[in-house]
Amino acid sequence: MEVIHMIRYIGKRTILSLITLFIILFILFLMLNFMPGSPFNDTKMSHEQLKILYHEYGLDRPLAERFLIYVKQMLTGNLGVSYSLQTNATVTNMISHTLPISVQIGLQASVVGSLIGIVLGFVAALRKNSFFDSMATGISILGVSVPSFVLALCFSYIFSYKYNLFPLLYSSSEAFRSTILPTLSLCFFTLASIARYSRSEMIEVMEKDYIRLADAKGITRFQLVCRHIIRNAMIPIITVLAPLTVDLMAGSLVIEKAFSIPGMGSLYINAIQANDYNVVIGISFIYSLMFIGTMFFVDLLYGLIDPRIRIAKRGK
Amino acid sequence: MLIQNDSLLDNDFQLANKQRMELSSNNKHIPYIKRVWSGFISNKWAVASFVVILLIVLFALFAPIFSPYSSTGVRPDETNLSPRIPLLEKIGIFNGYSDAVSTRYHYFGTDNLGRDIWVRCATGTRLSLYIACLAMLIDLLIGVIYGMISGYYGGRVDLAMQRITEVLSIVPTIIVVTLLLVVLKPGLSSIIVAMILTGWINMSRIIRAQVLKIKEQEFVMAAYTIGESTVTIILKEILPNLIGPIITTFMFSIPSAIFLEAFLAFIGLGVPEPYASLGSMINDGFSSAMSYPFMIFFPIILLVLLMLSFNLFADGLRDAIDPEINEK
Amino acid sequence: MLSKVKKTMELLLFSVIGVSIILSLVACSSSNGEDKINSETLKLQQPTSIDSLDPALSYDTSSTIVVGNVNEGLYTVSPNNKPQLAMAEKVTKKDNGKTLIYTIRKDAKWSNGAPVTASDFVFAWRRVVDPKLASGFSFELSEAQIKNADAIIAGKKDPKTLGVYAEGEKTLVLKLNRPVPFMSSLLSFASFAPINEKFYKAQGKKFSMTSKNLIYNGPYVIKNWKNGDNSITLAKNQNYYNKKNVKVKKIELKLISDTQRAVMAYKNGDVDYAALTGNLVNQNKSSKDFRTDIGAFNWYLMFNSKIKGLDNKDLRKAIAYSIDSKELTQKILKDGSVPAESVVPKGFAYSPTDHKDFADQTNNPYSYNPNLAKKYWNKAKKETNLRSFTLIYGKDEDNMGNVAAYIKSQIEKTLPDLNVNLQTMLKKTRLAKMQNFTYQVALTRWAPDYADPTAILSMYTTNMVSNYGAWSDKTFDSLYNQANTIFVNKSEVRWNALIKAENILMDSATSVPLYQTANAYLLNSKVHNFINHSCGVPLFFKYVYIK
Repeated sequence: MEVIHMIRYIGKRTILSLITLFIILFILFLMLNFMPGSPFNDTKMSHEQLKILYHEYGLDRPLAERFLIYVKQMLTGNLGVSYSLQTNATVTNMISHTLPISVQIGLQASVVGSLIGIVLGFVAALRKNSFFDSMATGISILGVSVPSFVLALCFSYIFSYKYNLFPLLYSSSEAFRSTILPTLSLCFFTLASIARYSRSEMIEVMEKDYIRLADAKGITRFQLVCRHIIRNAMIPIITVLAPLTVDLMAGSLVIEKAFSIPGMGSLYINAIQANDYNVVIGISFIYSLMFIGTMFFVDLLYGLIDPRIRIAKRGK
Repeated sequence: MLIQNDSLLDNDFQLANKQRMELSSNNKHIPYIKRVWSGFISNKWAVASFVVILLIVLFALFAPIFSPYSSTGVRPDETNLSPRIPLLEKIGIFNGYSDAVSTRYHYFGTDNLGRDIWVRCATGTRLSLYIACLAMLIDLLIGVIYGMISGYYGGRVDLAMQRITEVLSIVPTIIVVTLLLVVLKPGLSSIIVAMILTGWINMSRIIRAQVLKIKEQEFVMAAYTIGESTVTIILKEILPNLIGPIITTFMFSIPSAIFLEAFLAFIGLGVPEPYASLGSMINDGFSSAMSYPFMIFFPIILLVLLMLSFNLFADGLRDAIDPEINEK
Repeated sequence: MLSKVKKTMELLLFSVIGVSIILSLVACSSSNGEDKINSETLKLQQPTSIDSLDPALSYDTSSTIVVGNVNEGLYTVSPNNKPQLAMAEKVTKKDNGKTLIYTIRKDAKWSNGAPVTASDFVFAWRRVVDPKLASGFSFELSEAQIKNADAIIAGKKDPKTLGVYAEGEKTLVLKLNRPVPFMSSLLSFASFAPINEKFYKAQGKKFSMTSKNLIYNGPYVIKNWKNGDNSITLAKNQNYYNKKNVKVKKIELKLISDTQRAVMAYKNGDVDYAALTGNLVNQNKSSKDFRTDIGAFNWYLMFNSKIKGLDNKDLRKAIAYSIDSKELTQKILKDGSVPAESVVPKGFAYSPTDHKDFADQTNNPYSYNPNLAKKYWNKAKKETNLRSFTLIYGKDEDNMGNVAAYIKSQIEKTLPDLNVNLQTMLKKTRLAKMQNFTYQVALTRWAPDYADPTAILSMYTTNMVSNYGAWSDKTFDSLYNQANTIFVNKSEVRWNALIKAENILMDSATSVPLYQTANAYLLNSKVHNFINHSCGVPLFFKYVYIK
């Protein structure tokens, strides 16, 4: 019963996501159509040459036809070729070069940020009004108030320029070490928001009657915290994790610029500046896919962790 | 049959439970505003941040008036001067020493074009606050209307409206924002449009949740039973009860709006020259942070201070308005 | 609760102070550079990533540098900035200069051992003009006046009809429409490099996508590179004919787009060369490693003559006189750029007789003169109703925000009742607006592609695609045409005609030159023979040595 419901739910969500993706794609197509200038390196090209190029890449066809062709190609995993950034390189190839590093930094930042954030928030809640609590509050308020690019500037100045502990810029020979500073500067916002949120969730859960009951039953404090409080407090925290992880994508744009990381964010900005249609659409598509995927995953996770939701769904 | 009031005597009814009566008489009615005020004033932290906000606003409004410089006045002979402040210069800080000692007092120094950073910070703060408040107000308006309709009517209407927000919220902010950057004419209005497009959904969600909660309460039921019209119920019963959450949501969204403006400026969708916002000043200063750190230092401090105090102020306000979650 | 708040307050205060200290530390940056350089490896910072290593499609600077050093055309450029025979060992002129016969070196080889032949050039050049490839460099072959190039580019003739022929294995024959005085400078550019046809065909669509899909005939080869990397390593080509004179064994180009990071990397010893921009130029001026060369291009104000009011010469002159380029370069930009005195930039075109700079020999009418500006403005006021215009500039172009704000303040200060609105956009949008003439005034630049004044002057001739001002002058057109036709073999007469043309152009004030950029950079003092060329391939590593 539950499995069938789950499958139906997944199916519904998938269809909804696909429709959304389709709409996004179409809007992108439409918007790019109104972008001024050609997608080519056209400063020194004649009108004839441009015409030939437009024809060569099928850009002289009507918008609807181009859209259908694109969707058809996309279904076979072909996102077209780059017109000017890396002439004639396939977009899938360009994304496959840049995506891993972006995802790596984004994941590292969200894992580090949420783990430290949760621990900080929980400990602060358990030791409410202690020095540690005020420290955690201070960190979390400061964390949401200092922009990540400022942190990037400070960190790289201190840790790599002054003390030479980490590479100043991304270098593929020290791939992991060069992601540490970007991760740190990126994770602060997540850390702060999660710490703040988990502290308040935890305090709320601790005051619930069932916790008092469990406490009255005389289980150990450790058991109480682990089995009852943390589990119940985790549920709402997971919901804020998803949008935060997605926020990281936006943050990574800035961080990639600051540490000159050859990631997807910098490619995206370059593609927009160069009008490289296929690259812009391709990356937007991947971004949307990642976004939808994360939301979807969190939704499922939420359903798995929270028995109330499972029951509610079964009851429907 | 109607019983006349005067036909009842004082001792016609007796208290069933005396203890309970004492309890309720103890609970004197305190006016809502007064309760919020006393709740707020007892939170020193929030009061302090309110004072800071007030000071920054005063600075933003009046600093340009009392300064001999204008925010757009280019002074080629006074470019990139370090901060120089009277009195403080005597003890060796802020003495205006850089490539050349400045002869004038520029409290925060000058930028690449010799424009006074003190004045630009003031007008920049003004513009940032203006953008943030305006965008959030419009967001709020859309969000409140959308959330109220969705929450109040429920059923199919709610379902349809929730589907729409669901679809819209799947579009990543970064894509919306960067594409607007290309398609829209750069300027104040496009920044505000970008912020509205990305902000209203969250607002409507919060309002909807609140409406759902209030809708189930007795007084709404009562109004419904005595046959009040929908509009009256929404305006007279639900809206007043929404004011608390609306104010706190608004206050909490201001710092994130200021932040978003700075982010937009950093990726290139800032206010155009010769105007300044905190975000555009930080962006300008970023490329000179090594040579002239004061160019980025003061806007950043102002930005961080503003965001900090708005966050704390909103925190305090929420605690005061909604004491149930006070001890969160 | 209260104690918590107190403690938090303290903590926040400390944190704020902490951030402040960190930021102020940035101020007193001390140089702690270590000298990591050895005589075999040179590490250079590059601000842009590589767009393509296909010689016909490599447009941005770092790609041009790589292509220019791993491929060698008929000419290269010597350390004293003169074209020098490279793959060709001999050139003979026939037919009054309309036929050029190049003899390819016998010892010239590809990195796979195959000999470099004349047909490799024929194949590569036909490819550049092929409309199907739509190379942005095809205009260079029409500048070189190679027969049928224009018709092929327009799709009217087959690429095989291009006036380049291989006679035997080592003889390359060029048929020209008319003699070209600056041919050797033009041919030293990267897009004229040969391509081995057999290798190219074997790669198919993968050509130039990774270092394995490329073949090299220049002093260097590329090691382990794939499209999208942020660094590229060049190693000495063991098959290069002149390999014993190539001193540096390994060259690394690293992508660092932010200049401040580039300087940090330089001071750390991560790179031996870092380009400087903006305020960093002024800050590093006193360093012993600081160098500055004259840059390749002028920034100027371009007026759209199709707009009513902006076609008024007096108005344009009023604006030209109201801008103080000296103040702009020395007090605002402070990055080593110099006021531009003519439309043609300084330092790349010299008189054939007395070797004087072209830019020095032309009139320079527009030095800052507020009185003259007001005089022209009063005259213009009677002739036109234009009282405000919009100036567009690219927000992704280095310092343009500052320059635009300065120009606005200068014009509004000097010319009463004239308003300047600033509009910022992406560079790509600015170019599109200029190409469609949907702009009023633009801040723009143009870099010459070869060492001759016509490289710049050509864009002001009537009906030229890049004539963004839509300006037209019969005398200018005829002087330009004469310089390319009847005067082409009389170098002195030709030179004077070009000077006259430039003076007409300057007098019209259709474009107001503002300043010429500088290439300021930090370079390890042990690196020698390292020259930034102002046009063509910016850097040749062939002669560089470290000592």
